[in-house]
Amino acid sequence: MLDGPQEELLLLGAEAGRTERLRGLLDRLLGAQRTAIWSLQGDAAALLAYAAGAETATAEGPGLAGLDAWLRGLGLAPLVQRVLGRRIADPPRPAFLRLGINRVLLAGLMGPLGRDADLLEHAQRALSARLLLAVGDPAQGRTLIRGPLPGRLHLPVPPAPIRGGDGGVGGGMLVATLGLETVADPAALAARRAGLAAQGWSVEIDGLDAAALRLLAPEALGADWLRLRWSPELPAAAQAGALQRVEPARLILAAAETPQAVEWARAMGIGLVEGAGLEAPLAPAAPVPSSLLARLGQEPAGVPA
Amino acid sequence: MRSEAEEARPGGVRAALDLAALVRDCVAADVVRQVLHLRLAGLGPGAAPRHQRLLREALEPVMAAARTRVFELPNGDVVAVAPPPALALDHARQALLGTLDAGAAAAVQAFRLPDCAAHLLAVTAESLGLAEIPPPPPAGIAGPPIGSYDLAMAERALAQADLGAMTTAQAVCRLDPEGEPAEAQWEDRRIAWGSLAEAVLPGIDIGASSALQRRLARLAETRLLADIGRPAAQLDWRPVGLPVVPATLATPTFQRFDAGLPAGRRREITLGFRPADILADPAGFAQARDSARMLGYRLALDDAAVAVAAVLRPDRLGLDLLRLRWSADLPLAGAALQPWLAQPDAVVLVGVDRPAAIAWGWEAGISLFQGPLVERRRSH
Repeated sequence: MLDGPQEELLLLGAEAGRTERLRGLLDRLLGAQRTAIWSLQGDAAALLAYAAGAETATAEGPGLAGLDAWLRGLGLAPLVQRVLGRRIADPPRPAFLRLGINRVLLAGLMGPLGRDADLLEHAQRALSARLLLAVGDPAQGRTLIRGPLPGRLHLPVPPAPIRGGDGGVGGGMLVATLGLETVADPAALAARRAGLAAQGWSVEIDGLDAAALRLLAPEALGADWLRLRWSPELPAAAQAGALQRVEPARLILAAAETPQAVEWARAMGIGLVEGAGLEAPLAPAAPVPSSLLARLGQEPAGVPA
Repeated sequence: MRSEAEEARPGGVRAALDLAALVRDCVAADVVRQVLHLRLAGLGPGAAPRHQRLLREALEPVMAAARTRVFELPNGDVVAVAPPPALALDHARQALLGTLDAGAAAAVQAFRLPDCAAHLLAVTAESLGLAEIPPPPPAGIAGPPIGSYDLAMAERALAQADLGAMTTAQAVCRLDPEGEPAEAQWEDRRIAWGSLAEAVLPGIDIGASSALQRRLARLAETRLLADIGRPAAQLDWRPVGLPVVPATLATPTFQRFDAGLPAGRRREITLGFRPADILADPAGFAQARDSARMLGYRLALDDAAVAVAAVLRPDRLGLDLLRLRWSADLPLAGAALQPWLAQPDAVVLVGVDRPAAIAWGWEAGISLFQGPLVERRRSH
């Protein structure tokens, strides 16, 4: 066990299955996802970036005026988080892959600015836009997706469409992930969804945790997929929020690190989960169709403004 | 063309004013009248002559009936008013509906005074052209999106800028159909983003990043709070409402503001939470709401469009007030608004820029209004 530079704790050399369980417990205890796991085989780059970041982090991180320039100079690959989504079955099988930006790691690298939620959100969006372009580049895309694509690919997209782009073609395999904030303008969201659908993308709303379900009517959200974040409070909030009015096939349960989470998903009829709660060997999946990567040429342009 | 129309209906403006006076008298004396409104102005120009002839023929008996007053409004609409039982009006309505094709049937409307006084006043105002709103200026080509450098410069400029020019103040007024003078309940103060951008970020598209705009809002809000909390402002106190980002409530500035308030003042301050801010951080909102409620502030959902009011549910949000943004499609919202309108006392209709908005509000039971039209009424 080591102390990190930002008052974090590092547990080294633990066995993979136990680490996952420990992580689930810690996240439950802390009430949020505060932990990250690196494997020496898969995440050497991320680990090196963390070590490098730790050196610069002691030097305050970027200033506000220089944040964007600092973000542009930041290596993307170490910050990319890969999450494998699985379908509850016997045995569970890989269903989709989600690529995103590791918020915990990014906040650490940003130093004091990383503690400002709005600036962290801004930085995450900027890097997500870069991720989208990188995935569309065949050379980088293969490295980021790393091996067989188990099914649909979920990618964060900017809240507003980029003007003037030709638009990548999703071919039904791509899912555009939007933050819950976009729901505040239902007309713009509907237009965005229609524009993305015309390019073969489906739309996912992220950020539905227990707190969100206590506020809104989930059946009124205009998206193909809704991503729920597990916490022990979620079942009560879901019941109060009438989640059963939503077709369960549209739901994805994230952060399902415990058997209870998976059990709840099963009871709700939710088939897709992310997290270690569903322990099972991964079945081999089909290789990435090269045609999909080629079509991912550009950022989804949505509707022309 | 226009002079011809005016010649054809001499005294159209006079008719509109007479009708408005009649409506007010009916309301004041609580006198019941039946009303038939022919929306000739709403019919398509091609169909107009034929329809107009048909309608006028059907109206003959009404015109002839004693005790019926007919008003020919400046825009060509005809309104007939008669005390019940107004058989002539009923017959005329049946005859009109019989002669018109289904598409034009909406041009014939029957209602009663004083229940629909607001609607009829709106019709009158519309016929005078008062309700015509100039179209919004075409959006210019947006500047480059705001970045972290622009934000840093803006924050520096904002820290010293005169806030008065970058904020707006409008009264929230109680308007009631009985025609009592508008009574200001509290003053709504907020950042005018257009002026603020012009002052501290000229040429930059400030709305391009909701995250950076939210951070700038925090800074501007804390300055606004400091202004409201000034000792001098306490002497000449008026109840106030302002929108805040949930994170603002956790800042030292807010805590200083809160600590400096005299006892009992907090319930005269309405803190509004914007739907986008709530959705961007639901847990942060819930925390801010609970702490503000414990301190005793009044809490509102700030300027919600009808579509988002349908997503956010009043029974779950735990707020005291809905600030509902007026839009022309509001009367068509139907069931989506029911949960909110179940308590019309807890609704403020904002962005009121035409009589139809007030008319709709009154019909929905709303009596608190804010907007340019309310400001004009107060200044008279």
